[in-house]
Amino acid sequence: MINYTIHRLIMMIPVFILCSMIIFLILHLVPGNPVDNLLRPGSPPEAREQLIIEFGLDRPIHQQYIIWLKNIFQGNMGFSITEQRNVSELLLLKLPNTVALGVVSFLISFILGILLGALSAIKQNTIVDYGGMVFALLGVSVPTFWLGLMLMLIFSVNLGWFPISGYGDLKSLVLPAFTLGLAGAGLIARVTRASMLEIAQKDYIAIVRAKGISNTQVIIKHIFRNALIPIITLLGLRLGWIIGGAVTVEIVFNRPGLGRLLANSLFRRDYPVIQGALLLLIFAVMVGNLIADILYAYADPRIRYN
Amino acid sequence: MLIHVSAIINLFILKYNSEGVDRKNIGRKKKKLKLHEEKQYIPRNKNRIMFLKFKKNKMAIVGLIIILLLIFTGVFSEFIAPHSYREQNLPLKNQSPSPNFWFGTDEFGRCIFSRIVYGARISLKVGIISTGISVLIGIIIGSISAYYGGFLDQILIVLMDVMWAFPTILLSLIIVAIIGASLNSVIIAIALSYWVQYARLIRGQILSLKNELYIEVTRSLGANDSTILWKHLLPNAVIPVLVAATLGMGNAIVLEATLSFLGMGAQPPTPSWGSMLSNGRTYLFIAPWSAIFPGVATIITVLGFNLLGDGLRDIMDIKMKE
Repeated sequence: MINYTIHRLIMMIPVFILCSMIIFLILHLVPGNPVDNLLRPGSPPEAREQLIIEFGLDRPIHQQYIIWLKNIFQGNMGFSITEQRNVSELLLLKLPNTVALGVVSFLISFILGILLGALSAIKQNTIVDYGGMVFALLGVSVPTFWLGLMLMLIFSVNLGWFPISGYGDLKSLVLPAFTLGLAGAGLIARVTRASMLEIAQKDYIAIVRAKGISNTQVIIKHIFRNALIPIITLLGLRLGWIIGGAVTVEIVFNRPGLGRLLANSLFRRDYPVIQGALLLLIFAVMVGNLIADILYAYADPRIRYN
Repeated sequence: MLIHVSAIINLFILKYNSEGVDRKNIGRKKKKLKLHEEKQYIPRNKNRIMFLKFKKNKMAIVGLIIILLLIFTGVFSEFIAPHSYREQNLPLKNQSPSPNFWFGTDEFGRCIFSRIVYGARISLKVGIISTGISVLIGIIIGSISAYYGGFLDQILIVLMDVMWAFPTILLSLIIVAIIGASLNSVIIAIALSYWVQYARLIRGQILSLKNELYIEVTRSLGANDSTILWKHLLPNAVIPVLVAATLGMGNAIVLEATLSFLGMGAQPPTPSWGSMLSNGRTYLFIAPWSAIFPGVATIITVLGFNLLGDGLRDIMDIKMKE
């Protein structure tokens, strides 16, 4: 178990370094110099040259990468080109909003999804099952941003229960978190249902039933627990999905978070911020995948990777 | 010991009984007896079996009908749409749905229904082309990686892992930011963001087929690598990928709508459903229909691909992760 964890941790390093290289390279292939956004029209070319030297954009690309990587390991992610601020400072400022949104919607999607999936599996081929699966199918098919718009239209514009946009208090978190959570719950419900139905057909469940254990106990102790294994793999995958979804949800609800910062910086070609935000988000996805893999190996004793 | 014996006996009773207990099975058996289906002709042809299974799967048929309708709408947009998709009529802006404008008008007085009809063409184009490209990339990289193995496989695995770490929306956003916002760059971005899942799928398929006896026989008969790979392995490995691609088209259409919604996709006056929603968001308070209907169109389309994909997966009895 410990060996496996260490092995996975070591394997993460080259992937992360490659990711950082790709992020760095890709953004330097973007046409247009970010300095141009800073200059007032009609300013002398010397000012432009000076800015380029100031930001180190005149050096060869591999030197820029090494300097950038060195600085990151020292906790310095550079200086935002458009907002006069340290990138790490800027990211830390926006991080809590995104973390709150991510954690709450993650919980909503898993609790709702697992409950719905389990209920559908137990009441297979009844109206409950059909209802649950229609919901799940819609959850997979509805674009997240449209769901956000509709929730906003119903609960903010018509009913006036929640603020249309903004951040800070809990009330403003409800709609964005439910948007992401509901959209994510569909897939989890489907996986839970399929996995529970598959386990229920296994011979060992028939043995357990033959021993005379009550139905509730069979479902909770034997079927549900074994059905959790594929759901655990989803944990890691969904984290990446939620981070991607946070970009659109934050834009729809005008929430200042990492996703919106990233999208805005992409428009403004603010390299240091894009690189910093991407690196942070991808690191989060990789850690999520790692945790899911370890949990997976822990939950299923048959799995021991070498 | 005794407990085990009784448990096993009980197990048999349960198994025996369970056939009688299952309500669904009873219904089927009665029907079968009535129709004398025991002597029913069982087709040998694999395609015929698939077709019969498909006919029974109502969800898949609904999905197929939705997609066929969508294709019809996309091909014959000029004849279906009552108005032009770009003709502006400012005195009639932001009108609510009426007999003349079924879904109302947008902020330039354009007919939303007509724009949705023309938008079907764009969604289909993006879905089909981008998924086609990503399936092609996935098949090439996945099969090379699985068949040749070794160092090349290791490199390709790392590449796939790296791509896998990027959330698809972020990856496609970055790609569009690099090559510039347009419908074609959206297609390229979606294709480059989605190929990894197909590559992983085909790699797993070929890895499991590679050691089958019939491949060994083929090789000992003197077939070379490319014959084995393209003629014997791929045709057997490709069906799960095609099912995944059906589901993937739905995802691609949602991603196109998302990118256009963020202003990174189709540029005006192209009637992309995503960019219509982006405008609709601005007028959410005074003209909510301009945000509702393009979304409904997207959902129905994606639902069609998901239903068909799910149905095909059930019919082919394929186990796929996610």
